[in-house]
Amino acid sequence: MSAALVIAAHEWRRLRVQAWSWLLLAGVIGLLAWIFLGRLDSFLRVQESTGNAAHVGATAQVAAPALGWLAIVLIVLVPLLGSRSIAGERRAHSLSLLLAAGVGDGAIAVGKWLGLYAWLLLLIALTALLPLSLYGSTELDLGRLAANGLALVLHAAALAAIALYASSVTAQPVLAAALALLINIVFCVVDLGARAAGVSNSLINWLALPTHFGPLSEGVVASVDLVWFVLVTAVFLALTARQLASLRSAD
Amino acid sequence: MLVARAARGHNRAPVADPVSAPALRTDRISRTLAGHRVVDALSLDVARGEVLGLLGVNGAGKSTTLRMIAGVLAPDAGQVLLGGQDLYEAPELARRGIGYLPERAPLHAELAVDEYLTFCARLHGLPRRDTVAAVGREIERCDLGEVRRRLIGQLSKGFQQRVGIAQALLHAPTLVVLDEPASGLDPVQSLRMRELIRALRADHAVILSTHLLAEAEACCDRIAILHRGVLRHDAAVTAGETARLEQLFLRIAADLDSAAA
Repeated sequence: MSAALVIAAHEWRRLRVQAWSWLLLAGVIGLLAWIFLGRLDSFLRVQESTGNAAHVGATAQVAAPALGWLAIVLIVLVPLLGSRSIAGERRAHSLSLLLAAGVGDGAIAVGKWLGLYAWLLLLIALTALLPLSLYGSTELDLGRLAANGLALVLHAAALAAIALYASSVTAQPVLAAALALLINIVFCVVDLGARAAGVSNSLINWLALPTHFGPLSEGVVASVDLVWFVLVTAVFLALTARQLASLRSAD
Repeated sequence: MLVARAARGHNRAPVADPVSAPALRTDRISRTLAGHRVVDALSLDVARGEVLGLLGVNGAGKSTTLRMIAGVLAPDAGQVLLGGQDLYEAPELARRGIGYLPERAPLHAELAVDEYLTFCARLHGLPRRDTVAAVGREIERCDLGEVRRRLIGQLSKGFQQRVGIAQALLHAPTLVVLDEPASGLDPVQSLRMRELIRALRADHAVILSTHLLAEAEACCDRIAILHRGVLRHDAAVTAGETARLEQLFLRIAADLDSAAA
């Protein structure tokens, strides 16, 4: 496990010293702040016109949507951030350092995932400051916001594992990003057909990401949803470790 | 005669005693890549305190052999024994006894030299308290003091190769595996690299690959010549043998090429 932490700290440092990762972070927070302020402005106008001085509904109308937008942004952002984790190392011929050290494939996968995940947690924490800035000036439903935060934390964990797996499949970071994005989109839309046909409680619905993210972000914390995120994360980490092992037996 | 020499050591049983066992023994290791037999039943020993030079033309199977020895690529058949222990039975533990510099040094251009070496030391399992001393020792041994705070991406090829060697030595491995360590270096850098490799034999067993006969003669105690994945020559080398080695090298290539035709 300590090797995984060493790799995680190293990944964190690599992200920290690269300008593009800070630019992405700043860009995402800037975009979300713009959306947040826009919604806040609309909300205040409506409140003024209806005379709702208590600002009832601020959580649902302003605070929660800011976090909801981050979930959508992460679907595109995480493949970009994670694509270089392993593919970039293969391309730069530096992966042999990890493969030749006395570190297991599982530890490499977990370490890489932790490094990327730490970065995403920072992004989530900074984004959470936007809705929390309303605290004190209005009644916020902190329970719902906490569930929303939990949904984002689990969502990011699963997306990071998917991005890492895609990054282990190819030595081309662009292809890895495209593959991760494709997997994310499949998880988002896999049950669209079933829903259109009126089916909402089948296996195909269970496989879909929105089935689990939706209730969580609305404040309904159910173990089946938590298990889904943990399972997706664990399965893709295991696939990454398996892919790393196969790199030792293939050229 | 060449084939007879190459067959030396075949069918040997693994040596279990880690004291009497050679630092490295490959026992008939083979590897096929993309349907092509790149290494074929290769058996080699490297003793502690010995530098073995692996020579061969491009495509002879040198890098594939070294990757199998370093634990980066599994052989299709045969065993790699480190101090008598099978590398692939307890790979994580065994790899801690190996320092490996691949053909392209596995560097992180965005890190400073001492940051990178600290990471490598921790990766190889050195306790935090020993890391600073190990990094300082290898920076001094590899003459990296003047660049230790500079980004690796800004260093010359010679310094980058030395950083690559330093990372392979940090955890004081029994066996050091160097793939073309002098590749791309200018003559002065090459000379320094030879001095460094010669000095390594005091503490490690070393196996290195090279195209250059003069370099092999200058650094190595023994030379093994690979051709098309088969070991064709394995013998001690003494000073002033470059011309004889050159003839031998050419003869091996010519013999096999004409046989193939």
